Amino acid sequence: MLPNAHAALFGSASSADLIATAGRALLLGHVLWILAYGLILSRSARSRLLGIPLAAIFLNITWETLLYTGCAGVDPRELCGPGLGGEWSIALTFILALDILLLVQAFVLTRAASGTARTTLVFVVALTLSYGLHASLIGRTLDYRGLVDSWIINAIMSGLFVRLALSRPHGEGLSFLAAIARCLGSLAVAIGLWIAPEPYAMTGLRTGVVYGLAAAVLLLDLWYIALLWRRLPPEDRLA
Amino acid sequence: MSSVDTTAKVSPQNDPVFRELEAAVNARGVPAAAGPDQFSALASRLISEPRLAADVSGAIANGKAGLGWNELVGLFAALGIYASAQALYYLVTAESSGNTLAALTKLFGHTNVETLN
Repeated sequence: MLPNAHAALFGSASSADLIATAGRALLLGHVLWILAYGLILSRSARSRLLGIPLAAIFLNITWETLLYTGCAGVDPRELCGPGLGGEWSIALTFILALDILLLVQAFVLTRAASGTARTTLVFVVALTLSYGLHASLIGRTLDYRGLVDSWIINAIMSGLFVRLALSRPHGEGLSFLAAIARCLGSLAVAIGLWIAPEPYAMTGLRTGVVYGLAAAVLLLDLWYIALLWRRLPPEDRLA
Repeated sequence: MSSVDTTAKVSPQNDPVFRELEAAVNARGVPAAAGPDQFSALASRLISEPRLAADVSGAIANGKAGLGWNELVGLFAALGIYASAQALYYLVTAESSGNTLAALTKLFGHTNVETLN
């Protein structure tokens, strides 16, 4: 069905046009993710509560770091492809910077309740473990630019957000707008990949896995949005 | 009906529940109640400000950012689920790694791809 729809919509488009259109969709998705992280940071700072699951922070920041460092620790390093330039480099830098802020915020909030030594130990172990898992998967499955890995993380993050919302009866510390931005961001990235899958080496099973995970992310994100809509007081939905 | 002894002499500063409430209220930038009748002053404040009360109760009940056993189990369970998903993907794609290699070869189009094997 997806290939047929693609042929009907883009059958006569040149490869360069397809890649440019896909690039715009992918960039829009990343901008929406940046917006989501910014909103989560701001909401967490106001409520003094983590607005994102801790595991999601670890998985996300280690993946971004791995890509930013050109697959450091991955065998072979060529799997990260040529270095990103232009707007992609800026987008990745923004996302990584926001990830670092989220990590620092999580550390400060957690340390206040659990002490410096315990918090540091858990953070170091979790970050090391997460990075090792990313590097291992990307190397073993030849996951070019960690694409499948990123969607596995995305799906797990979406599930963790739902769990977080279920644990907070009034949606304390959670941002409704960030939930929408994150959902639309993931959707835009999935559409970008569908428009021009070739530069990401999406073939065979890899294609099915990525689209399957993208569908799971969409369903979980919609569930999360619905939960927040029902749980947050109306005046907090736009906060 | 109530089992609360309203005549009991309690010193707020030594009461853990009061201290927890006070800390949660303070953390939101609102000065906690002070004075001789701190319990009732704090309770009045929470009753008159429902949003603050909901925020504080949520923080105390669900949102503590600490790393107790429950949080640790939750954190490492999430990482375990991630590792399991990875393992599943690895097992499923083991047979199709040739296809992936071919796609990467097409993408790079030069010899360093051959080292990916």
